[in-house]
Amino acid sequence: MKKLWKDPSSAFCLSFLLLITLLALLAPLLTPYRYDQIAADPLLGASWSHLFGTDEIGRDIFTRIVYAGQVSLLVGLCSTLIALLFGVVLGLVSGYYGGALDALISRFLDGLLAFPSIILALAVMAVLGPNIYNAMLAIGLVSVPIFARITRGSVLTMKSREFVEASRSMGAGDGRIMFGVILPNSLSPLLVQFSLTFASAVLIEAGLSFLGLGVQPPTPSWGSMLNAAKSYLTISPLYSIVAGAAVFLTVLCLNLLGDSLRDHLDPRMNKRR
Amino acid sequence: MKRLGFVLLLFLMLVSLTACGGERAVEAGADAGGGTLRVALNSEPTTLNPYIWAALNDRNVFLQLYNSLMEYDPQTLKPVPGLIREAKASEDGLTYTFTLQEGVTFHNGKPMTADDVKASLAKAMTPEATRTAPLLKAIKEVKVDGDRQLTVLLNNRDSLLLDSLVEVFVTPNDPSIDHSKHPVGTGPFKLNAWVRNEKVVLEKNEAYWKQGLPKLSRLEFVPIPDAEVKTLQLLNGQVDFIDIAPITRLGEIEKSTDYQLARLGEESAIQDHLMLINNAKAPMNDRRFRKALDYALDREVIKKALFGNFVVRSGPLPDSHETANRDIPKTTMDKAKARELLKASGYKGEPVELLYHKIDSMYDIVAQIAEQSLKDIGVNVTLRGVEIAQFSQLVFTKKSYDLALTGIVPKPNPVDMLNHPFGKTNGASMQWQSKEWAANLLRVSQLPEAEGRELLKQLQSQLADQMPGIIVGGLIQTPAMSRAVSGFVPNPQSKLYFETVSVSKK
Amino acid sequence: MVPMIARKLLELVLVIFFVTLIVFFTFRLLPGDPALLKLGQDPTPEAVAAIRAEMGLDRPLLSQYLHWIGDLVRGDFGASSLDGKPVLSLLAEKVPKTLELAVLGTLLSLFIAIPAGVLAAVYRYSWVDRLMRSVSLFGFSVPAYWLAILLMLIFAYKVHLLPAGGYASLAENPWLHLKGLVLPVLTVGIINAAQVFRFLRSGMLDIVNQDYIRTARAKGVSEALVIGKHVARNTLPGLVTVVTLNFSLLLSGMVITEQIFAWPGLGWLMIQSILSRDYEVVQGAVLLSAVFIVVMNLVGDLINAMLDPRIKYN
Repeated sequence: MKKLWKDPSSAFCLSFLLLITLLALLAPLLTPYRYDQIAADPLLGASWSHLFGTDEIGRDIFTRIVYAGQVSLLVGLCSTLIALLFGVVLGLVSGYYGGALDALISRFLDGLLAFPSIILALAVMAVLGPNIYNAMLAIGLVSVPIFARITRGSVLTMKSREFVEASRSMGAGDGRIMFGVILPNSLSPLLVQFSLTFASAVLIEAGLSFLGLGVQPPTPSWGSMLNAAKSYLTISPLYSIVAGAAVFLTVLCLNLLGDSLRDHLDPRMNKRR
Repeated sequence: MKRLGFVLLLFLMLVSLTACGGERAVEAGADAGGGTLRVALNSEPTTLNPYIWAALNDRNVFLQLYNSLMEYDPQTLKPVPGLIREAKASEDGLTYTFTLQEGVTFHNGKPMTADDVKASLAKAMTPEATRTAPLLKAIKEVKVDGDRQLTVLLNNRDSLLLDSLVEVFVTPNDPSIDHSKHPVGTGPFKLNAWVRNEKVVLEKNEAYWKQGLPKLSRLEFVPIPDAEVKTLQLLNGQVDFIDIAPITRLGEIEKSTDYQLARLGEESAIQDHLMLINNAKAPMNDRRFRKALDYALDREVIKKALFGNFVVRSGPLPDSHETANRDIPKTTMDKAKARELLKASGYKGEPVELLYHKIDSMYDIVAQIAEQSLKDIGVNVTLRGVEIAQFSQLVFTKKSYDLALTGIVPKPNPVDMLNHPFGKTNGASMQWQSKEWAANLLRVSQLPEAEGRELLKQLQSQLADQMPGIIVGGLIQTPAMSRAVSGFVPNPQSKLYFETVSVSKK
Repeated sequence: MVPMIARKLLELVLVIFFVTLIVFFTFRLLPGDPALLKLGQDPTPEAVAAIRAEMGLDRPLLSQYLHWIGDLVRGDFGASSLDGKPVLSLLAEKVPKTLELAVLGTLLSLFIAIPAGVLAAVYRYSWVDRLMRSVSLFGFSVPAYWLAILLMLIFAYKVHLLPAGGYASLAENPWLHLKGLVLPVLTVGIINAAQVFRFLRSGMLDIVNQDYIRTARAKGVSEALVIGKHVARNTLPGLVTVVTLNFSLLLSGMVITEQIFAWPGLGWLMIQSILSRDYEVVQGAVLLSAVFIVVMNLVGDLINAMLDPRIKYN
């Protein structure tokens, strides 16, 4: 972690992500408006009372951006956690036990992976109803296979290593070996994937909003704001720029962070010239 | 690796080939004859069957393929001859004799006869034909009296029969024809090709019975789902006509010398944004609660956010309409009064859900403003936007909703303007417990004119008093087109007629 | 090789079985009644029941599923509930249009990503590398529909150079067809290039640090030759995997790209039929694209098995 702070680009990313998280958490303190409050005329330009202007029905865009941060970050985080949880368990079980169970789980995940992810997320959202929790589930579900694959891969390489054998001979049970021995040793690729999936989750949420199945209005998310803003691009470019910048910078930083994590955690990558 | 290089090279060539195009992309529409008009719709029709259809896009395409028995005069909105050339009613109003137009042939070359009209009326009266069956209830029997003569016997007087016949289209009496795929009508255009999601191509019906029409030789409908892209295509010369100009672009198009809007005056706006209320359920079953909602709505803000494409009104008829009851005070926003009414209704913050459909971003705006208006007076309301498929199921079949927002397109007669929101169609969803009101409304067309008008006014007062549902305001959607297009008449029901439209060559 | 192919094929059948399950039951769970969508407003319950029976929706789900599978096995994909068109002919109409975008988009992305990836690997950890990575992240971080609108505003609205979406058939108007391709291919290509670049760079870095490359370098082989010959050859299998894997991402992205460019391909067909609850078409289209992706992955595996560097270097 310290190494990350020394690298200027990851330091920038970390600080940006911290800043945006802080803004989102402190939203009620930062703005006099509610996120759904019609505070002025629609589509006003930037002013002191409305830092980024107002949106299509006259709500303060700054207020909505910071509140949308809560939603988008929360959806990103929780959906990634969901994917991580299910992916890791499936991957551990299928890699560890192998055989028919492995075949069944792997093929099921292949099937899931073969779906166009946005269609799967869309269908799940439509079935469960569009709200923030279902968005987390739908987006999480889409990302399960990738975590499962990574975990399964690590399990396979590690299963026959000495320390696994050793703990087995010492009488450790399957669960103990899987979660206590193998999992801690395969954390680094998972961590890298975590930041990448987080980033793509923010984008999938934006895509769902575009298709009308994202987070429900008047609750703002960056994706839904960006989607609304695109109709006003020629009249009120600031609206789009602000919403776009929020998505863009966050996803960018998460991706960069993923890259740095990979460089620092992957032992081979440390052998720089 | 070598092969990959070759493919890359090929692609490079392709890119350079495509990138060197300097001229504007307006090739479309450059063929002989009366010209081609390219019309952009937000989605393609789901069917071309004129009896069983659901979406306005279905109607706007099949309007070109078929003729209706009667038509509306675009100015007065009174029924005038369509395929029926002459209609005579008996003294008691129970017998109509119709004489059909001469020399009308179907696209398959067969002449249209009274027999085809009888069969078409029968199709329009089957229960699946939900658009027309309720309108034709008065018909007892249809008799064919020769090739061009029909007699229609009614169960009761129906002064709106001719209005209703505007909705009845004529197809050949031939059960082997499947109109959803291979439509055969008498209309100004015939179907040439329909490529899913790509285009519906219609070509001129050379044997059209209206002299000198249609003026176009070809008509193409292209589906473009994104409203912004649709506008860009118009502004880029790729299409000549868009069904709905996005509100954000109205100003730009109005000022432009290359494009024009087909705007309808506010007084002709008969379509409504309607808030359906499930008044079988508490707290919506209290009249004061419903009235509080009406007073809470900030209609002016909606108008502003929709760039003026909205008529501020609280009654189902335009204020200037001859049968509008002017004694009813107009609702202007009064939050204090709304809160008072809310309190009087005994409302204690029970959660209420406001359902709407996301068929157009306009509804997102109306719904969010309405939600804020209700929140302002202390209604514990949450918004729920769903697809149209789910909306119809929740509202119309299951009737499991609290409040629901939708747009409605009534026919341009006062009975339907009341009936559409509050009577049969949506009234059934509101479960308004007033059979008497609905029965009286149906009686209007059975009464002599003056009495009917009086009854209409009474019915309006009852509505204002009971508030079974709320007219949020008049709905306006404006088509836009290139200046090269002439002869298009905007229609209060948003019907698109293209038989008189022509497009000049650039 | 043969037993491996046989095993893979068996796996394929199992995957496809799961896909049919997911396809069928997810979409049948969607709220909303297709019969209502057909009938428009205010239908009588009898009319709804009649239409439902006509569409075969009144039978139990499991029997509908078995029926569907039975028909599939016989090569019958059913028909659209909208216009009665056979699903197969609809798919035959849409698939080439999607493939056109997908293939050209992939080529464009390779065209951008391969040089960029090589440069980044040669000058790893230098400012070139950083620059390339930052630029590539743009493609990662921008929603497709956003990029699409932006491109259209520039090339169709400001400089009337290219069409703002829309499709002209190649046979009727080849010139317009090609011009119509540019912006969607750019959108797909830019976004995809970011993914390919990323895989490529890390794949090459993996290899650069392997022992045999170090040996080659120690023997005095020039860096250009090292990268050009050894690394490139050994990255190829990785590249195949990336391209085949990415094809699935690409097809998913196509759903939105096609919708925004009004490009009448498979992605738009899926969305349209989901919204109109045209079950047979959704099932057919999603199944086809899933099978396609599964087969692509299989082909990728097979190619890799043939290209496996260990076989060549041992």
